[in-house]
Amino acid sequence: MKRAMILLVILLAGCAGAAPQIAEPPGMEAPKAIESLDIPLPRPSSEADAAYLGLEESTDDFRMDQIKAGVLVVEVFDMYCRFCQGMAPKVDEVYELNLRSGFAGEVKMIGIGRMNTPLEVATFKEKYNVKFPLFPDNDLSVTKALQAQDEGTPHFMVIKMEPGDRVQVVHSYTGAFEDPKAFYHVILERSGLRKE
Amino acid sequence: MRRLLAVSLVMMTGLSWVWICEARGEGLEDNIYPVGKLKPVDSRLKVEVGQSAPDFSLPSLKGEEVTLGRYRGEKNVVLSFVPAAWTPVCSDQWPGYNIARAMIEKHDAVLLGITVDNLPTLYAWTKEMGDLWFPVLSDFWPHGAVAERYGILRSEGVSERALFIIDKQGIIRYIDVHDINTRPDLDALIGALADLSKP
Repeated sequence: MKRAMILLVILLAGCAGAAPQIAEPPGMEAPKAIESLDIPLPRPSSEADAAYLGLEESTDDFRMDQIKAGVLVVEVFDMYCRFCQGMAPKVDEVYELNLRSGFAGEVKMIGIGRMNTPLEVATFKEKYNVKFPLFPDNDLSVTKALQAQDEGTPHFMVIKMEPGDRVQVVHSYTGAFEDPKAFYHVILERSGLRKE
Repeated sequence: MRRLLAVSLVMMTGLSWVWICEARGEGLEDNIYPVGKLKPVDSRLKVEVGQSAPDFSLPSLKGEEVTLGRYRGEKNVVLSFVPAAWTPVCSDQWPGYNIARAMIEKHDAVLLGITVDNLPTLYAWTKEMGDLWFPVLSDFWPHGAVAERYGILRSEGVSERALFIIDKQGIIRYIDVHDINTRPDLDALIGALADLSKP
């Protein structure tokens, strides 16, 4: 009997050790050091997307640091990635949460289609009714500028845009997340918009 | 008391397994066999654009025998050969096609996915991808016979990563024997399908 009790205690301890692997909140990775967002992007074909980013009507190609936001959430995704497909509704929920919060003008979201052509990005956007702007990155130039070329997809970065064109990556995370509310909370908390 | 302990043990074992599985993600990416960089193309085509596509019948995952000729006069056909289950590139090419269904069907086309793997392997692999809308066919036995007839069977026994478009008259209209290490983009395929309807 005593032996059985010891075994049970060991097993419980083992389970307790396994559980934190999913109990950790998203964002345990060390943020990257990016000095600027001088990263060229094409003007979105949708005027609604251009307006969301705060682009002037005359702006064609633009730089990421021209996006009117205090915090930029970037999802590096791949149209072919099954996890990105599965995550699309949850990422959209994060977008909706932000829209309904008091931070809609402060926090903006974009997606970068890693190694995806414009058609592939458009396919993804249409299929999942993605409401925030997505950009193709067939040559990996944007992904590399974000230092995300060695990451899996989806990869999320929360970038705080500071005065003087300086930026700070306050959070980065690769993989799926379970709870959009928890993820949105991390975005606000890491960017200093909401205290823990 | 002993029974209670035994039940607790079983439950805890199950629970810890679930935790571990969830922590690993959903499975597919963790089970991919790394093949390294391969010779881009390792075969010699035996068909060409403009000729009749060799007919074939292959077993599908749904349990039926799919014959290419049955689409003649009715549908354009895209054949997507991928080298092998559980390998990189192949494991995301088809999930991509999974969300391109409307674009393919818009051109009155069906897609047939083919590998030289056997049906049980294809079953386990495609199950990890989620539900694929197109038939997945096994060219396992005689091993790679269809790939061999089209001239895309590589020396190591897998097929090339290749796309063929066959029109409603059964004529091959497009061939892309792609570098096995890279994924063909969707644009070329959809563009070639659009060309079918041009006069």
